Amino acid sequence: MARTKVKAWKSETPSLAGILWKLGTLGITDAIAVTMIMVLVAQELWLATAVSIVVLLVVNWIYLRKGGLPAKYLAPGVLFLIVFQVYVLLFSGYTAFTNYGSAHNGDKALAVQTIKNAAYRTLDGEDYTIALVKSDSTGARGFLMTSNADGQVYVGEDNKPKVLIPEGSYTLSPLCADKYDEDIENCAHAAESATGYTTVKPESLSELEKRKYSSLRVEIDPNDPTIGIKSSDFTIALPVQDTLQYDAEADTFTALTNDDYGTFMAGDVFKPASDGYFRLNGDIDSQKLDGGWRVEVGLANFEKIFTDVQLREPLVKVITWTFMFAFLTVLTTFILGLLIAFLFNHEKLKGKRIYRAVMILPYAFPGFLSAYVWVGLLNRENGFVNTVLLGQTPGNEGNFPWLLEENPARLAVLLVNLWLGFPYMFLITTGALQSIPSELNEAAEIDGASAWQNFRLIKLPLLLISIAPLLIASFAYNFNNFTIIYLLTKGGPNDSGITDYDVGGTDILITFVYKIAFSGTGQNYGLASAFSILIFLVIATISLISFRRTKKLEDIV
Amino acid sequence: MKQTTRKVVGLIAALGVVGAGVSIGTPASAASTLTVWADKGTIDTIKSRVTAWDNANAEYTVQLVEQDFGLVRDKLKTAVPKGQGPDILAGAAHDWIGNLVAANVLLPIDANLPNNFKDDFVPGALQAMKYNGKYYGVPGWTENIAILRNVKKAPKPVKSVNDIKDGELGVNYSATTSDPYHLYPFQSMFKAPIFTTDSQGDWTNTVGMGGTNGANFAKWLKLKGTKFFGPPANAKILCDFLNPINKTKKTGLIKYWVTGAWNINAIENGAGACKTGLKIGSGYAIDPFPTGPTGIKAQQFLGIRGYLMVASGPGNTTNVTAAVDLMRFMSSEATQFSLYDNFNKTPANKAALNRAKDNPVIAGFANAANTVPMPNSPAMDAAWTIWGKAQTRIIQGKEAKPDVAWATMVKTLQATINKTK
Amino acid sequence: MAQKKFNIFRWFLRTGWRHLVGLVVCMYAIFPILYILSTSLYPNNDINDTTALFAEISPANYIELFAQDTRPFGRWYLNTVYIGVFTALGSVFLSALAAFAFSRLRFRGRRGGLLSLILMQMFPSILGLVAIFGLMSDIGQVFPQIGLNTQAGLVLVYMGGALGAGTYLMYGFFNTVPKEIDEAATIDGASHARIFFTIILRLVAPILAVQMLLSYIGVTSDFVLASILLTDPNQLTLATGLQQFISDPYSKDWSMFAAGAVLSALPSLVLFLFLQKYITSGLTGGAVKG
Repeated sequence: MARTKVKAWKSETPSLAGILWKLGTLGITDAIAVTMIMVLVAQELWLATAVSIVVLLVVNWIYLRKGGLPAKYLAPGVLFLIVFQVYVLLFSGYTAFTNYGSAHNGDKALAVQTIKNAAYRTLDGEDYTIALVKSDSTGARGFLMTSNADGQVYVGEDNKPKVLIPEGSYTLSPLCADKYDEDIENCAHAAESATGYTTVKPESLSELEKRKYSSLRVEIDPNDPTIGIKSSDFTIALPVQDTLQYDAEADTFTALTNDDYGTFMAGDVFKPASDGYFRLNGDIDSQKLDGGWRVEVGLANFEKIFTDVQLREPLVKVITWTFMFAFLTVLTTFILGLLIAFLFNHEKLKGKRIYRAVMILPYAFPGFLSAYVWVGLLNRENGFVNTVLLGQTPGNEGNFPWLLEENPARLAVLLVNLWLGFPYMFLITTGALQSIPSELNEAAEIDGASAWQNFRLIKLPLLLISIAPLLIASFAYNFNNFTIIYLLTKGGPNDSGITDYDVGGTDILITFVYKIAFSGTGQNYGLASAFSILIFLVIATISLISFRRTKKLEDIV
Repeated sequence: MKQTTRKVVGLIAALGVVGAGVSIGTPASAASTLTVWADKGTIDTIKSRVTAWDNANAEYTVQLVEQDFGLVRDKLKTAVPKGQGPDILAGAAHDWIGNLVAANVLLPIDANLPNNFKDDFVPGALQAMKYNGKYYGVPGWTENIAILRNVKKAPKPVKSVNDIKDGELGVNYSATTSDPYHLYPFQSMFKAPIFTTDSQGDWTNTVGMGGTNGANFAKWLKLKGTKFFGPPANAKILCDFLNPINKTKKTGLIKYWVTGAWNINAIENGAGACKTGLKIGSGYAIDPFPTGPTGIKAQQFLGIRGYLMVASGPGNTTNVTAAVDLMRFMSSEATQFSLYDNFNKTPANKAALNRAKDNPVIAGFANAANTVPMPNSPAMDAAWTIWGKAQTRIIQGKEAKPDVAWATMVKTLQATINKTK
Repeated sequence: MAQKKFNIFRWFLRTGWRHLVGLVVCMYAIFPILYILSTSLYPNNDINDTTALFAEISPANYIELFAQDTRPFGRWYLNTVYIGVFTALGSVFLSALAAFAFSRLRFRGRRGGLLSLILMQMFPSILGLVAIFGLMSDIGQVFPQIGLNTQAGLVLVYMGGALGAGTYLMYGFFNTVPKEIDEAATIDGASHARIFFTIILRLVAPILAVQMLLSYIGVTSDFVLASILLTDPNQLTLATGLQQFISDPYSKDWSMFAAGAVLSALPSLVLFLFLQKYITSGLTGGAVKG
């Protein structure tokens, strides 16, 4: 059985033109790649630079060396494949071992930032309308503050107490301090400039300057230096007390005050816990701060799949239906597609092209759109199918419940999928039929074979060689045919009983997993990814076995 | 030559993608752009006011980006950690807040709201924007449901739910996840609140709809069934509500419709196959909910649609200054009155609401309101699916023992909430 | 007379039944499309209203479709054609290259490679959305021209899926092209590139055409990937844009949707009719003669 048909391809093109074209295209590719690498270098992305250089070198090696023909044909596609598919696959694989999800939505830096964003509280008391100023004498940044309580004007510099400015040393803005105050005539006016200070417009500041101004903190209570005012929008400043302090070195949050909501007391220390939260003393059972990040959780997601009692019953049902759905879809679309392909492979048939054009219409329509149309067509009370095709009374609640009950909904899904899928099968079987050399047909006819014999003994086996892999692919595709199920029924009708999981009568695995990942209670990408891996293993095994069989088919030729 | 030409055409086409991308792709310039995400309905509503702010603030350009109402939260959670989120999420339902805060995508704006600002709103509206003691946005408009009555078919408001006969009620609930929002007034007739409340009247995370009250509601749901509530996903409520009764064709039977201000436009102008609308007063009226079977007054959720401040991802800065300014502009009396005036949105701003009180629709919904703010905690987010599923199954008669099913639901929900603590 | 009856019967056996089956299947294929066409021509229709097909015909929906300023339908149209054409060209070229290698060359890891390609396609990639978004976001930080919210970026992502989706299909068809043809050419002194571009590709030209059409239709149908990668209203594709007309539960606009749907299906339709000619005149002649 050793493969003896290894061919002696000429390894290089002898023509000068060929070489020139090759070098030309390779040159253009290299030029683009080098430009990109230069951009990467300029942004100091060293890892990306290194990877790009390696890829570039490998690509050049592949095309410039003698021999290694397969690589020359495979390289372009494989490059795209690695970037956009292999990476995604690995990412999903990794995610399955993490708690990535709604409440652990990102890295730790994001969580720390979230906590810091909320690590203050505003106090009752006077707030101020402010203008940004710079001292003419020292150059220090400061706020020109107009109290919204009594209209007094102060100036405040960083970490210093506010200083009262006497009337006459400042000018009031002609505009209302609160520009959304409807009472234009009587509204309060805030100081816009003061002697000894230059007013700075926020929009004229650089990012760095903005940051310096927004970190400015002025003490307003002579008795309590922890109370200050800050402003992040440079128009209003409220008395604000910091509640938590982040120590970047120790990676801990320390409470400065008691929390109004009882989450922490002054002096509490929150440390990163293993579940991706800052928890009191890092203890997994104690209080946490809102703001989680993604951590690895080992096999926990897989464990849940196999041990969660709530999951078991719906899961068995979903798996069974997934197989039925994929198999029946392939079977029905293939039979109908093949039937029509043969029908129209008849030379003398009149109007063939018109038929063909009509039948291909479902394919020319974007699939997602067809699904929406079918939802309307299959409406129980007023849908076209019930009222016109089946002649039921419009508006009658007793009409056939296409999408509303489990078995009718399953039938509907299969019918719609047949509608969507048979033109594809028609196309590929037609394509395959036409690629069967006509000499074979003629030979068969000369031998006096009947049409049926011709079909069964000659065309079908030949057809299957090219079609069988497609049937497997079609099975795998429909196994994961998210769009049709989700758009038609969202997996419903909801007959799953009362469980935490959103499962319905037409849910296949992928829609079920999608719901876990993207809808309902706390999105759980981790669990969904674990599911994906298991689905992948199942479908891969099936395909593998089928693939072995096509190998036999191929060897017949 | 011909064949090599073809080869090159192929390769150039492939490479051309990169080249064309360079010329066609428009890199986003972030510096002075404020990005607002909103659903289509919200964009139509707020567009002219946002443009007004835009024109008055030359240094900023506001970009309104349409997002699917149902998917925008998922998208936000994906985008923000990558620094690709918007500055503001407009038209957001306030019950999203808890879940979004837990996902690290919102930024508190307490430090940017002057104290006097906090008195500008109707009770509960600004509180709805508050989660764990922090404000994450400002209110835009309020929504509550009421009983809309076809005056010609039912001249007088209905007093008790017992007086509504089978087929006379229209209520939206879906076949898949039900709609506890529209069914809540009926549930409240049994004193089975979604969560318990603490001493200050704030919602807790303890499910409050269990026990005898919940069981009674469940039994009542089954008793009434689809005969009373109609089929799920009923697309013809509007027509049946608008059209006169036709007993032989069994159409036009609906006298009362449980819905909110968002359907007023369709009722007054007609839509789809029912072209003739009804006018308020002579055609339809907005009534409070009837009392329950045992005389208990019904409550409905107060929903706030608001403007939420989105946090920026690492390395990106949000235009907090401008964003807060725009948000305050959108919550001001002038804007909210304008949204009422042009789009019938009930103002959350007190002053604007007072100016709008003469409007019979606004007055009708205000008069019908016996509201509790809809909880905005992640626990609430966890509740919708399973809660709704239980209701739908019971209404459809799929649960032989509705009280047992209801208790199972309550237990499962509580377990889910506890898990995420 | 008897003669004639017999003929009709024979005619039915030979071709008549084909017409019968053809008509039935045509009805099945076309009625949803007639329905949407009818909806698109009927002003202010709701998809749930049953009215007779084509009860009223008016171009109002089509006119309004192009008049909406927040939903630039014309732009979406161009975007989709641009993305579709480049994706179709690029991915068919990539997968033809790979299929040639798998079908005609024998090398270590061939079976394994082919198998991996197919298996990779079977990974439920819907979850990859999060990963792809992150990847494109990162790319966009460095090369904004091909990052998020660019059509070029989307084309690249689609082409990433080309190898898996197309290679297997084309591999199957390449296998049906008799190997003797290229063996003969080799003996005549043709290089591998020459054989690939001038003999094999020409022989499978109908299949390439079909493949491109499929690829184009796939692009116009995709809205999951496109909706997460494109956000600017001016950058959207037809699928993501049209979806907006019916996604808001309170303001579904079926008429606009239907009109947009009809228009967006047109290119695929024209493309098919054009390619149909190509397919039928395809392989029958010269294979072995060449």
